[in-house]
Amino acid sequence: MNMQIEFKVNGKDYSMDVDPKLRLLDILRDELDLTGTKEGCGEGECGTCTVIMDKKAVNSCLVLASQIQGKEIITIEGLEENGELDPLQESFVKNGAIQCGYCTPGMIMSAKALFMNNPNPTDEEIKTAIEGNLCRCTGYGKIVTAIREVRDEK
Amino acid sequence: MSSLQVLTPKNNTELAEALKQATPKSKILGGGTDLVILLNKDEIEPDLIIDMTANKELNYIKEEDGDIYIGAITTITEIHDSELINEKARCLAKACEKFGSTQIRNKATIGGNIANASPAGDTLPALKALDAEVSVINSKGEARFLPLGDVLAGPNKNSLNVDEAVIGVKFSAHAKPWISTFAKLGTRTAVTISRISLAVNVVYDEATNTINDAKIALGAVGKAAFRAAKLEEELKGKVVNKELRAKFAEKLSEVIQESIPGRASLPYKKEAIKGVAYQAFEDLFSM
Repeated sequence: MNMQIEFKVNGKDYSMDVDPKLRLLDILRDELDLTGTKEGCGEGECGTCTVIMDKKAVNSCLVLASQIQGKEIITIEGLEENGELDPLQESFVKNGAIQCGYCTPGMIMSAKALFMNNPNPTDEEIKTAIEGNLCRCTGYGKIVTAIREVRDEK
Repeated sequence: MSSLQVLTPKNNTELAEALKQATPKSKILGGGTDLVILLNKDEIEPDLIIDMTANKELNYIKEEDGDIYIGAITTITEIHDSELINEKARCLAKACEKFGSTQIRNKATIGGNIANASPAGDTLPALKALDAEVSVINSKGEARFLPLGDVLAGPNKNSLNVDEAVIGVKFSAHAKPWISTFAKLGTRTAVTISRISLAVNVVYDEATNTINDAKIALGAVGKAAFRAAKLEEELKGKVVNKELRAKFAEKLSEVIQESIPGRASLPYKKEAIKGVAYQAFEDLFSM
C-alpha cells in the first residue's frame, strides 16, 4: 500500500507517493537519482550511506520511508555551493584522504554533521564522529588530518 | 509494490487506534536499526508496521517526584547527552556512550532497545541495575508498568501482547551517594556488539570508603540481562580496596559460570569478565 510523504532534500521540497518498504537510501538513489550516497553493507555497519537528517548523521539504509516525513535531508550533492566544493571536500582532495573513494561521501557527511553540532571538536570527537564509517584503503590517518585541517582553518 | 501498510500515529490516542489493527505478523518500528535490516532482506514480511517515531508525545526525559521518565522514541544520543541522566543514572548514560556508532545512536531508541530484547542490548543491564519499569500501552489506550525483567521473555523476544507497545521507561533517580558505571567488552574497541556487559550501581560512602548498597547487572551472558543478587548482598558493608576488586571479579566469573554452563564461549567469558570488572572498579573508584 503506497504512502504519501513530504520531505526536503538539499533544500528542495519533495512530495512523493512511495512503496513504504523503501529505505531513504533507495529513495535517494533510485527515485531522486542522487547516487553520491552509496550502499555498502545495508546493515548500518559501514557508514557509506551516511546522510544528514535534521542535523544528525544517520545511515540512510536504516531509515524507512515513513521516517522521513517532514524531515530535512542533506546528501553529499548538497554540499557544493555555486560550483564551489565544501571546505571538507577540498580538504579531502588536498590531503589525499581518498583512495578508492567509496567511503568518501559517508565520511564527509559524518564530518559535516559533526561541524554542524560542534564547530570546534577535539581530535577525539572527530574520531568518534567517524567511528561508524569504515575505510579499507587509507587507514584513517589522512581522513582525520583532512577533517582536523578544516576545524583549524575556521 | 508490497502489501505492507505503515501507520504513523501522531499521539497516544492514534497509537491505541493503530494497535487495534495489529496482528501476530505486525511489527512496531522504533529507530529501525534492527527492523529495517530484516525488512530489507525479506527476513520478515509484516502486514503492518506501526512507526512510533512520529509520536512526539513519546520523546522526553524528565524527573518527577524522584522518578526519571524516558519516552520510548528518545534516542540513544539524546539519553547520552542528557545532564539529568549523567547525574542521576550515570550507568545508563555510559551504556549509551558505547552503544553502536554515532549514526546508530542518532537513530536507535530506548523503546526499541527494550522491546527488541536482544541479550546484548546495551541499555538493558543499565536499566536492570536501576530497577527500571517499562510503560506499555494497549489498543484500548490503557497504560501499565511492568518490571523490565517481565518484558524480556528471551533472546529477541518480549512478553508484550500483539496489541501492545512500549511507550516509555521509568526508574528512581539515583543521585549521590549512588554512583554507577557501565563497562563492556566486544570483539573490537569501538562500534561493537557486546560479548559481555556490566552495570554497577552502588551506594558509596566516601568518608568510610564503604559500599552500603549495590545493584549489579550483566548482559550478553544469558538469555536476557539479569541481576547478580547474591553478589549484591556480598558487597554491602565492604570497604573498597584491591582485595574487594579481586573478589568482585572472581564472584562475577562464578555468576557467568552458573549462567551459561556448557556454552562454547564460557571458557573465554569467565576470564574476560574479570577485565570488565576491573574496568568498572577503575571508573567508579579510580583504582
